[in-house]
Amino acid sequence: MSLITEGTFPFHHGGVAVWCDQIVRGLAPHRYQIVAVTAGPDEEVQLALPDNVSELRLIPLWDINHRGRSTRVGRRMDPNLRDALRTMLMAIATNDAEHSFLASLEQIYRTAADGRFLDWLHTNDAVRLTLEAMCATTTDGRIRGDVPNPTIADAVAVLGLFEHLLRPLAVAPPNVDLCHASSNGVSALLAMTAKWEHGTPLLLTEHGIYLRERYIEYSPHSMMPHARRSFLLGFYKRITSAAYDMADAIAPCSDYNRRWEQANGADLDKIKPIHNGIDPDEFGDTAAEPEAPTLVWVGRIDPLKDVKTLLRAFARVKAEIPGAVLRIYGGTPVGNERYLSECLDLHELLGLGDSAVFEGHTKSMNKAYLSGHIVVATSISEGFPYAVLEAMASGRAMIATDVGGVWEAIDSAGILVPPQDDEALAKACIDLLRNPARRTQLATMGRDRVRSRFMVDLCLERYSELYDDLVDAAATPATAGSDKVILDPVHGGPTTTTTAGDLAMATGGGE
Amino acid sequence: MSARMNGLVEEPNEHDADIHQWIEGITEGTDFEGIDASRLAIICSAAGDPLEIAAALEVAGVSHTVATDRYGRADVFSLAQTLWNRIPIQPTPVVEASVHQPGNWLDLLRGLLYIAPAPMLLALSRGLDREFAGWTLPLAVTWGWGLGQMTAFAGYRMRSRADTRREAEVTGRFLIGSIISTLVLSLVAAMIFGGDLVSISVATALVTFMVASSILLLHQQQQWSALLIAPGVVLSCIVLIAPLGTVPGPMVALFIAGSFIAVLLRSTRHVHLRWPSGMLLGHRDFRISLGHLLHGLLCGLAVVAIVIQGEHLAPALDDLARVLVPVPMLATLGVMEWQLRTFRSRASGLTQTMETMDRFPERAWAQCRRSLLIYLTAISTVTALVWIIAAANGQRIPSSVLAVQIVLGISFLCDLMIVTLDRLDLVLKSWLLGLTVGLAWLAVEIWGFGTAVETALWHASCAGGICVCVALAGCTRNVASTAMNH
Repeated sequence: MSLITEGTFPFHHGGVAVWCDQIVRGLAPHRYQIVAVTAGPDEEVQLALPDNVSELRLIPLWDINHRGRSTRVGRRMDPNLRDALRTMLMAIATNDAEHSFLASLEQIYRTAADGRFLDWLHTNDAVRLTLEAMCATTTDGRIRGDVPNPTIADAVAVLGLFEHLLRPLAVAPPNVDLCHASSNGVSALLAMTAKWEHGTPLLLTEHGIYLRERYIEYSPHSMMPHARRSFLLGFYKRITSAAYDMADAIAPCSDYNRRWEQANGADLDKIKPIHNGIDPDEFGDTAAEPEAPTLVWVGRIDPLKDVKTLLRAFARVKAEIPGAVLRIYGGTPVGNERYLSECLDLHELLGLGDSAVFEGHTKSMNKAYLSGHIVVATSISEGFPYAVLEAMASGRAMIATDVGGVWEAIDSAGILVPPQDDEALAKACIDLLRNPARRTQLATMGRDRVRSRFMVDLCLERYSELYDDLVDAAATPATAGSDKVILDPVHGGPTTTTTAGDLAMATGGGE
Repeated sequence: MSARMNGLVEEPNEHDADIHQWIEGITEGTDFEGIDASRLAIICSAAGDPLEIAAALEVAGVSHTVATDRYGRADVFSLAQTLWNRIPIQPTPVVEASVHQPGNWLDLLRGLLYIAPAPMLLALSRGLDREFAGWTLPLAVTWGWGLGQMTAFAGYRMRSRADTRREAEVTGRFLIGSIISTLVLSLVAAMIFGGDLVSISVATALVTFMVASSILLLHQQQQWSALLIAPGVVLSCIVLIAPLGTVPGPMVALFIAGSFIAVLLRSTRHVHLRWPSGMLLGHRDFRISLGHLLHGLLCGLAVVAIVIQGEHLAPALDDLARVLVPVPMLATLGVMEWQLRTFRSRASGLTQTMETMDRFPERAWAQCRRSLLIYLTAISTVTALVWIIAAANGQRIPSSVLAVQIVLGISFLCDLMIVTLDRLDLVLKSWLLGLTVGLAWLAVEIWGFGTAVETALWHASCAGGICVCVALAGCTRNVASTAMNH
């Protein structure tokens, strides 16, 4: 099996990393090749890999591309590649039947799989094509107001991002029995190449909805010019939709995700939601509540987790309950330092002082949950968060924002508030802090709900069945040995490989 | 305006003038008092797809349940589709701040900062009344340039990843490494070619100053370099102008060393010095750093081969004429900076204003030519002045010495343009090509024609320099005219 990850396992902690770890360890009879799409080539492994991981491959997406070939002025692209690129760009712009995004992607892959196309994206010819496509962008009959024309700078910016996002097309596709993409987008793109090249079945799991998170990331408030923003989002829409087309099965982690996938064109017959699960025995409930009224928040410091609303809400709580304490557990991923700094500025501005503490990454989630009276989750986008399940299992009352699959997890065993609404969040916290009986009731309901519905064994069983079905159904099973998958990089793309021996050294021999 | 009936919001009809008010109508409910309707309106009017509006609605609190229960829709997507159909696409204009500011007089001042060590070394030599070993300046210029480039790249690389801790550690290691490595190289040079402790100290101080300056430059603190080095520069000028012995030697040494140490100490505020444990740079970063080191070494070598060697070509020249020889190159470093920034700003401006690619390559190349021409005019003018001043003093500086310096100046400007446009590979190839041609020329002259080594070395330097200039100029046109590089 090839488990393809992006910006997570085994290099970063978080919900998806927990899920990957569960899958790899829990389905141990299977051997795994982990293909990690990372920012750079030198990231450090943070999660120990088990023995059934035979290989770790990296695809550094944001590494410097060593363009070996001169992009001479006036030099024109290979005609086939030019056609494919033009079709892809026009498909993004117009979404009409004449231009098939998926077919053009495959043509790019087959025409220039050695990575040449990455060089071609730096030519003036490619900029010209992109600019033409951006000018041709249609709005599906929507009333068109005053929209600025795209400029060369817009085309250059978009093409610069494509050069990174399309890099998986330039690396050797995994040659395994099954590709399991842990998210849509770039991870799924690599799995798509494996299907084109070897007919490898593709299983797609989405935790957060990739497209939705891009919409939030590139909102108009991101201050990106409209032309490049809408074209880039058009690309994300096409590529996520193409992945749904290519996938043999889609296993969203919540019914909420299922709705988004369907809205983006996924075939309902392919969608088989599998809720995340945990081992509730890992989360004890014996610890007494702390003395000071304490709120606990667990997650990575990330705009999607909306730490700012948490701080604002806590400021309101503190105004009502002066002795209240907020403990924020979670590390800051590389690239989010600025967001952390903004949060710290807000913390200072609100005068929270020692009452709201950034505790950093914690190794014991259980202790973290038990260090408060209430666990709070403030995300503006979620799939089916582990933090919610774990908090419920630990025997603490939960208040969470009503996003993604959170309501599926909590139902009536916790309190849901609208996202980005610090007033509503604060009110819920104050009410619950002042009502121990209600806290106990919710905690009991939450623990029972996890034990009855969200056990990890159930989740693994579903995946195991799905694996078997997909592998059996594959017309031409892969020929590579299952003991150790060492891929021969037939393409000269930016990929680095770590073998089992290296892994043992890097991770202390696995567990 | 639309009306709210039985908890449902009617869609606006053709007469609805203000669609934004309609959104506010939708979001105005007891459950959603906190919703920022204007924020939602901005997203709706800029959305490129109904799903984008759906995401914005959800973030604003309109979940699936709300869309069905409150607004009577099948789901949030249906509500988003309605908004998509009704709200004209009208994005809020975004004014993009220009990344590249045009060059200005500060660049000219920065150029003066770069050349400051030159008069200081001369003054030190004059003040102490001693010649430094022949290897001192070539070693310092070459090694210092290479390490400075490497330090700057590694620092910027870490900064681009927002990894300030590692940036401080990497630059700290390079700073310490530059001191130790220069000491070792100087000792080896002294053992082989001869030289005293003063020469070793001078070489080490100069390299350390160059690396420390690059750290301050990385932190946009060139003004500190200028301020701290000013006492040394002022005293150096006095020493060079006043009769010999006016300023006591120890005082000269104290001021100049003090200036260098001050810059070094200032730079240590931005570095984290600790005992090294493991590699801070990844393999790939390290490899690119080595590329920048090589680039700096080759640039330094070119200066040694053409400018410093040129000074010694005509032993008949008096002190003034020898001092004048490197002036064209040194005095126009500021112009180089100014034109580099101006070109980048203008080329970037073209990409932000042009809406077709039809004339971009020629217009970008025209901007590039303009900057090259301005620089050429500046260095030619200074060269002519140098020649005239020397001639007025009865000295005749060989014209080839000055002409090749102009060629080198143009090469450096092309080099800077290409490197800042992220094509170090092309620059390295050009310099290596020049080096190869120079070495081949040297071999042919010495072994083929029996030319004296000194003469052959000068000819080889000229041939290599011209070759580099042609190669870099050729690359500059391609690189400057490629839109993706801006």
